[in-house]
Amino acid sequence: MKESAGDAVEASTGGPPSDADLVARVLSDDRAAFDELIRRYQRQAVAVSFRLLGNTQDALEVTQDAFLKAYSSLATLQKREAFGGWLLRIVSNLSLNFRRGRRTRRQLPLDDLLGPAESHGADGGGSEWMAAGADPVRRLESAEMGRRLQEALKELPEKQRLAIVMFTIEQMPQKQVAESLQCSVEAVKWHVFQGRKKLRELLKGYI
Amino acid sequence: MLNDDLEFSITQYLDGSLDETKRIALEAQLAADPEARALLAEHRALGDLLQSIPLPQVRWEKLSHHISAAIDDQESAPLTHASWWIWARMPQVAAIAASVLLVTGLAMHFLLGPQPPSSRPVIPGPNLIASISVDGPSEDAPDGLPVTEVSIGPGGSYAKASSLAPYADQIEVRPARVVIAAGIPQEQPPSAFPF
Repeated sequence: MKESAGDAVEASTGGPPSDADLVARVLSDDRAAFDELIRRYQRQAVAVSFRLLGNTQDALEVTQDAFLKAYSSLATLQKREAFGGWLLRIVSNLSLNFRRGRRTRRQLPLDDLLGPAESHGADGGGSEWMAAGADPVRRLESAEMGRRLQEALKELPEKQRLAIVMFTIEQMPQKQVAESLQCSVEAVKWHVFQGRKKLRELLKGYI
Repeated sequence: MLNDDLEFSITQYLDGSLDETKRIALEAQLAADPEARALLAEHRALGDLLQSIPLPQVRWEKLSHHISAAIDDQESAPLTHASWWIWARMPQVAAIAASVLLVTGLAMHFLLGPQPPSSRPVIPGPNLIASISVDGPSEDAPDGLPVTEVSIGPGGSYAKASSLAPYADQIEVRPARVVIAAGIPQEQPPSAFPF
């Protein structure tokens, strides 16, 4: 990885560079500026993908693919300051299409990338939802709850699911979610409301 | 407040996106209405549940190195092709390319397209005559004799039926009678008559 472009800009201006600054630098052949964008958004990207797919391996692969795609088509980004929303749109599209259009990918070294508690349980399904170290009954309940929650999320229409994942779970700003979903902030509020309402019905016995 | 309105306000209240005036109104309703409080409690529990979903423990620094290396791999492979592709996908470039294609197409149409007829008729030479033979499906030939009689007229069978006879005068609409007859070869028995 290149030396951080963010550190250099931060040192000279006293604050972290904006997304728009970093995008402009990447477009003028400052490859290191993109590493700063990776560091800035990789957590959100993995989180969104994981919430949509329920599987660590898939979420990491989608995240990598999304950054590759973002880098190669960065010149098409209209609003440079909206990089985050744009990237998460790529992440959510890739995640939603992941099962349908699965292709052979270069395998990510999971043992190397995941913490010790994760590297042996990254096959998706219920195991990922278990609270490590809890007593067996609690772990079983937690796994069941996780599965039910995952199923309930899958039953939501696409926009409602994305709005719930990005706004309610990941607590991203509504404006960023709106950019990601390509809709207004008011529409995001509406999708969140509809999603919450439906989830409340689907999870009636659990809450 | 209607149930949907109340629930919408509650979700925004929990998200912190409800404006000041509506927040005060909602808090007043929550203080007075136990059902509204129960709804708030359910949504709060749902929010807690959603946020309790654990995330995988990722070594973020290693992941960012890995992604960065993948980008370097991608960059070093077909660089010229990639940069061409980026340019080609820019909307301005695409618009200019489309305009050039359109103008070229129109120019070719007017320069090379069909010419206006001249005063002298153009007679094509013998080398321009071509004949095409197309073999299509053959016509279905009937097995029997050709139809010799087609007769259309009132049937009157309702009126002739004994059960309807008393009402014969009241029947205003009678079904048309259609007879299509064909000649019958002598050797064929009358029961083989197709109608």
